[in-house]
Amino acid sequence: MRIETNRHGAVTVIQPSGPVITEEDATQLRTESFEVLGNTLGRFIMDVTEMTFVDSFGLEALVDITDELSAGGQSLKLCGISDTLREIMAITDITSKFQQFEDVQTAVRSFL
Amino acid sequence: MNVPKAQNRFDIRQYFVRGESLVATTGMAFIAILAFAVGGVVWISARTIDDSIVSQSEDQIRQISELIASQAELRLSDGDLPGLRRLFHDAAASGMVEECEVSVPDLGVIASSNTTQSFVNKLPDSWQPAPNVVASITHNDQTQRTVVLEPLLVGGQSGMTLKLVVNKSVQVIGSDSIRASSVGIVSVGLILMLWVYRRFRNRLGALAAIGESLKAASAGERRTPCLVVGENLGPEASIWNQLLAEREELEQMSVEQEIVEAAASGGSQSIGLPAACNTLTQGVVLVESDLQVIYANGAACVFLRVSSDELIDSSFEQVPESDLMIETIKSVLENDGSSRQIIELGEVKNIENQGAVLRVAITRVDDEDVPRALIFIEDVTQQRLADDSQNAFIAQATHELRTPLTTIRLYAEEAIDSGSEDEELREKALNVINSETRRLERIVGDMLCVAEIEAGSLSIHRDTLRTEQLFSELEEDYRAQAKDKSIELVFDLPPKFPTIQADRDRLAQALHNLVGNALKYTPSGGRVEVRINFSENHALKFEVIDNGIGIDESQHERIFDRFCRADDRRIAKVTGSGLGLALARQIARLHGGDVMVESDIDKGSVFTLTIPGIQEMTKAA
Repeated sequence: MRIETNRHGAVTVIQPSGPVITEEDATQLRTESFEVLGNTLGRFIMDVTEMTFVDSFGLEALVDITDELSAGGQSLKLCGISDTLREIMAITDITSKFQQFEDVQTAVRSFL
Repeated sequence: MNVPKAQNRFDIRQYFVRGESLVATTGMAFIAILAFAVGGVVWISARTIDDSIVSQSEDQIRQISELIASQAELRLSDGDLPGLRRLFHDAAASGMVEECEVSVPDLGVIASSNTTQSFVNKLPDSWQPAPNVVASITHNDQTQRTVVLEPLLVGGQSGMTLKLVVNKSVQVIGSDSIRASSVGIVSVGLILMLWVYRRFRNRLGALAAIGESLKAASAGERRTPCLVVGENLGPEASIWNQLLAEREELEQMSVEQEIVEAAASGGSQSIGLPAACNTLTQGVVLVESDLQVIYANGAACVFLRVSSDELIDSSFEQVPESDLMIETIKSVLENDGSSRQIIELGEVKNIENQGAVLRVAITRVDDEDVPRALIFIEDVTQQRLADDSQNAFIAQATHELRTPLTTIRLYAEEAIDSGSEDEELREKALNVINSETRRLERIVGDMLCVAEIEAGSLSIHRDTLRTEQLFSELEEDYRAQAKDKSIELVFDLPPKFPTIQADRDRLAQALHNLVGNALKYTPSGGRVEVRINFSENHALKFEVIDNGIGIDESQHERIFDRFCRADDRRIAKVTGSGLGLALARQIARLHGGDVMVESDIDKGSVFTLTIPGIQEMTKAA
């Protein structure tokens, strides 16, 4: 898995590419997200357009990140969610833990 | 007077105590099952007794018939007919049999228990044999008689038959008495059970009512009046109601205790308030006049970069970089009455270094004459950045608009002054005015387009587009500008121009931005080449290749952001709104394509706009 980080104004966009199906992938995603979270006071979104699949490791990482954000009253903002990921989140009943946006621009605008 | 309908409505349930119906149903079902079981046992027992008595009776009849048959054979062998008749008479008199007789095929009955009949006095020497006679026992339920036929062998000759008639009713001891006594016993049992049930019905009702109450409690019912049961149901019901009352009392005491504790802690621990505040994205901090922090929510800890444990019940002075806030808090607390001050911490330019712009509103709140400061913290970094970008955009847009307007005004004045004397000068002025007007139109178009993107309402209207006309107009528009700047502008056009499905105005806007940018950032003497290719699927590939100043790789994505221009000193004097590439990419993406860049510093750039063909669009859909 590869993780790219871009900045849109004051908002940092984390874009993981590829499946998140191993513990190493989940740890990498969690670590980089926590680092960005600390640096930006939570002004970050995750573009999951290129995240082709997640298993329990990936879901656990996403839940950990949104739980960390919830300490500051926020929740993880996801954009570009594929039908597969949306279905997985619905089956595992964690959809409500996240904010969902159509694309990056819309998600960035939510910080205004 | 209006009377509520509910008061007049008949409700049979009001006549039942909770659980009464259950007890009645259970009791009746229990009685029915028990009666069925007892009846079944009695019926089976009686049937078994009947069968046993019948079997015993048959055995008795068989033994009697065998005994009489053996005695008859002995007497017949001796020719003692009077002895045989005496035997039959004695047997009938003793009640063992009702009738008995011996018959011979030729002579008929030769001896019988009926003494009124007349018979032969001597047994013949021989008689007709009767081989078909077999021993048999036949019952007649209507007459309650059993007829036994027994063949006799006298002197080695067969043919004689002994017939016995036995009264079955005499032999069988009737089972009706057993049935009658059983019914009596069952009836007495049922009466006793009914008596026991009526005696314990109330206590059973209490258990059933408590069971229903527990079921309601497990379903979420917590109101005590809904859980109590009737006191008349016995001591169990009273104990249950007492337990409920004690529970309610404990709950009330618990709530009162929480309220007392909340009041004692100044309200910061009031019920549910901390949890509610922790869901806020804004930070909330409450400090005493000595700067002791009473309460801070999760967002405040994130913004102030301290943990909750470090902040609460500690001095606010330990918060890093809090000098300005502390100064403002003190100022607010020193003022009498409710006062409020708002400050902003941080600068937009520092956001690259983990910076943020925080808007802090500090309000004095007096609680029973104890002054406290409520600090409300908001992260406004993105808003300030957007404001700065908007301001920069307005400044640049103003400049962009003023330049062509100034040119138009100057050439218009010159054309007016020259009148009709200098046709050449007037024609040149009109051409310049025309060119600048179109430039102005494009700038205004870009600005409107940005507004639509911001509003999320930018859309395209596809139509069949003749590309030949589009590219010839594009070449014509920029030919003069390239010539003025001594730039070689080359259009590498394909031999055939197919029609494509696209929004003409939007696509022209994107292409103008790409070609205009290439001419703008290519120095004099440079070269700009426009290559246009169509695939068999009518997909468009539009490349703008220049040998201008180039763009650093780190800026390749950033230049597509709205209001953003590459960080490069060499373009400081070149005017631009920072919108062209963002618009071009947005338009291409709305068509299902994209705009990509390849560039190296001082070597030039290649911008490629692609629009997919019909088949590709169909596949993508």
